[in-house]
Amino acid sequence: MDFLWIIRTNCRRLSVIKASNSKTKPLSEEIFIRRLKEGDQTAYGELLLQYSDKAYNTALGLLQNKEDAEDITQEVFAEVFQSISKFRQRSKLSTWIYRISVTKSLELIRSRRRNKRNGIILNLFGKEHLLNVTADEPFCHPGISLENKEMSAVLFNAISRLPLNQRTAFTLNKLENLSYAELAEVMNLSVSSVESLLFRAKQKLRELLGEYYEKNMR
Amino acid sequence: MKAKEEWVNKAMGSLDGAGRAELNPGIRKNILHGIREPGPGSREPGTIKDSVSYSLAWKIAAGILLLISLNVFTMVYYSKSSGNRQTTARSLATEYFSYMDHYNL
Repeated sequence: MDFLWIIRTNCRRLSVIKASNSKTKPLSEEIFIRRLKEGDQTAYGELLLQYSDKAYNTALGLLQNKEDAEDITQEVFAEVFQSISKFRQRSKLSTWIYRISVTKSLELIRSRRRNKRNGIILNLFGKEHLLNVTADEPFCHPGISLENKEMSAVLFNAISRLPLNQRTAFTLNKLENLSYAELAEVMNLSVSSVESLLFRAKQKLRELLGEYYEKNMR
Repeated sequence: MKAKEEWVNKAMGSLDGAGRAELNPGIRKNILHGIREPGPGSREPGTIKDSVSYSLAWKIAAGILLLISLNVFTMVYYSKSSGNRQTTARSLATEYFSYMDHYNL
């Protein structure tokens, strides 16, 4: 038999095995999810250790507020605990947790915006404390190096002015280093939609940063 | 112009290599505590939500009130506009159940 033919056949066999393996989840994650569904308290501890920083950083990047991010993280894991039995394992556990973090963070942003719009009515009924209007303080992300802190604060301010879907895509891509494919799974979009979102987000950010430069740096 | 471009590029790259913020360990403890000892308002994992929120209850009540108001308004308007017939509860009931005569009930 031809030696090259043998090598080619084996390479083809290996690529088929690799492709089939990539579609199945690692056995360890399936066992871990089963333990969570059974209510194993140790498993919940492990879940927190592995995923709490992911959820926290997602919320922190979107909300740009430490206290809000901590509250949302607690809500995320309360939701995970409540809904774990309904988790169908159609996606990875990390994807599911990212999705819940994004949803809850965006819900908070939308409710704050609604409260701002209803500000007059709330004032009439003496409920102005619900407005939670704070001055636009520059946001300093704890993970940014000292020399980039000032510039990153300007960038975060610009990010907060993006439409929510662009904001989500850009934040998760930059801060959580999610690939386009992972972003597509989290946001339930196609990869091309994610690419388009990121392109528009970067374009808009450059525009906003240019305006800031014209206003403050000249 | 070049300075502006450079500044914008630098700003866009200011998040590169950003480290992860660490969650306060106290928050993790709170979460675990909430899981291990659920409070009076919390649910068992996977249970169906069986309570209705206040805002939803108020919305349902407002909807029912609106329907009743519309019905009353329609009846009053109908009785005023049709001068020949006096619409009373008895005549409405008679009209409504008139189908039973057809079946000799």
